[in-house]
Amino acid sequence: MATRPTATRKTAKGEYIETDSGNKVSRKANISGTPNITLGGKTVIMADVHLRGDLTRPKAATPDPKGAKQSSTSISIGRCTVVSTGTVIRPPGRMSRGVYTYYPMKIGDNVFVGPNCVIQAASISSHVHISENCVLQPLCVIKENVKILPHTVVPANMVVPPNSVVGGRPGRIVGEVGEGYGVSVGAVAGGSGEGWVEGGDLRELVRIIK
Amino acid sequence: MSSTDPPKPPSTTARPSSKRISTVPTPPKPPTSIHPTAIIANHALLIGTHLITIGAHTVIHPYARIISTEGPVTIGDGCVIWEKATVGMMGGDSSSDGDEGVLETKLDDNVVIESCATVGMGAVLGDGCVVEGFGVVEGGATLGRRCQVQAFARVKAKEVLTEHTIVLGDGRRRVSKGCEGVERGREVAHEKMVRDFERVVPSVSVKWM
Repeated sequence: MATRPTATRKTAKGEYIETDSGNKVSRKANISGTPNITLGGKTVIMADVHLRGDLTRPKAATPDPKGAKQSSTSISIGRCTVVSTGTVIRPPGRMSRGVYTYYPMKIGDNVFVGPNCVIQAASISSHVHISENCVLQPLCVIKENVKILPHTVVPANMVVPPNSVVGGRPGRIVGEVGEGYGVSVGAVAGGSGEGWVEGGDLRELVRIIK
Repeated sequence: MSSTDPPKPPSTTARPSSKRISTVPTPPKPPTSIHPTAIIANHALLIGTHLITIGAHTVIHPYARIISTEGPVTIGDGCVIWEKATVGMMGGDSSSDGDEGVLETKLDDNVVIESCATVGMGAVLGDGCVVEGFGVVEGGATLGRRCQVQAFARVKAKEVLTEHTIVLGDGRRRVSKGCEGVERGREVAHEKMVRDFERVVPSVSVKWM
């Protein structure tokens, strides 16, 4: 006698939805304006991350003379980037030629964004490590290989040059990242389960997040 | 062998319906008075038992919380409450409950509460105040016009700040002299920003009326 399988609807749903290009987006992430967000692939968006893709540039009243199609992308994130829990990512806005405009935000590859940050940077380049509880105020620019220490407030419009360490409130450059920044030392020798370092290749970290 | 076992009764009643319904009871809606031009985003949360008043062109972003359990909350015109901000925080750590009465949390016109910032119950913020990310204004504090609470700064309970005070992230304060031209520019920018939200943030304020 065939009994009905008791475990109906018990398909084990993982926390993350994985897309074809390997992006892992948590089911508990709070994303608005999905069509305006691009993820480069192998990027992780954890739970309770707020992405404000709905804050877009206003449509130009007069179409571009060159006929270039105005893209409405407001947040673009590169490959192997990890955005941790509780972080808010919101494109910055300001007055430009008498109109209030939001600037599309670009985040590069292998960027780690720690938990509970508020990010309103104009752009973040590749191999940047942002620690927990940081605030990146509107229109700051973070160049390559930058490390931002925990609890830092990067002021509005600040440009952080490559290879620097930023800390404090307000944030200032407190040093340079050393020679070995982003080079994983133990990867060859140990394989101690970590396999990733700050500013290095985050592919391993992305792989272990499930 | 299997014939001796009584067949399981088909549990049609116990089967969950295809649509899952949250078992958590939804909190009762607070009484509200919302201006028709105010924008309340879909996931914004208004909870409490006292009156919540929201002025013209004010924008409440998704996942912002307005709490009126301890007293009424009044938000003026052209305010912006960003995501994850809390106004009228519950159980504020203002220890002295001696002076009872109803604590009214009041935000004047053009106040900006940034992401993750908190305004305690009974706080009064003057015209054009800004509380930056993770800034905290504890219950009962009073801020004059155009005060600025910078990121991670904290204004203690019952504190009174005069107008143009800037609370820095490390706890220091200074009073800005204020420049007429800059202020005028800021006002214009703020107004344009608030008006621009009509384009980008869909409003569901009807839900709360």
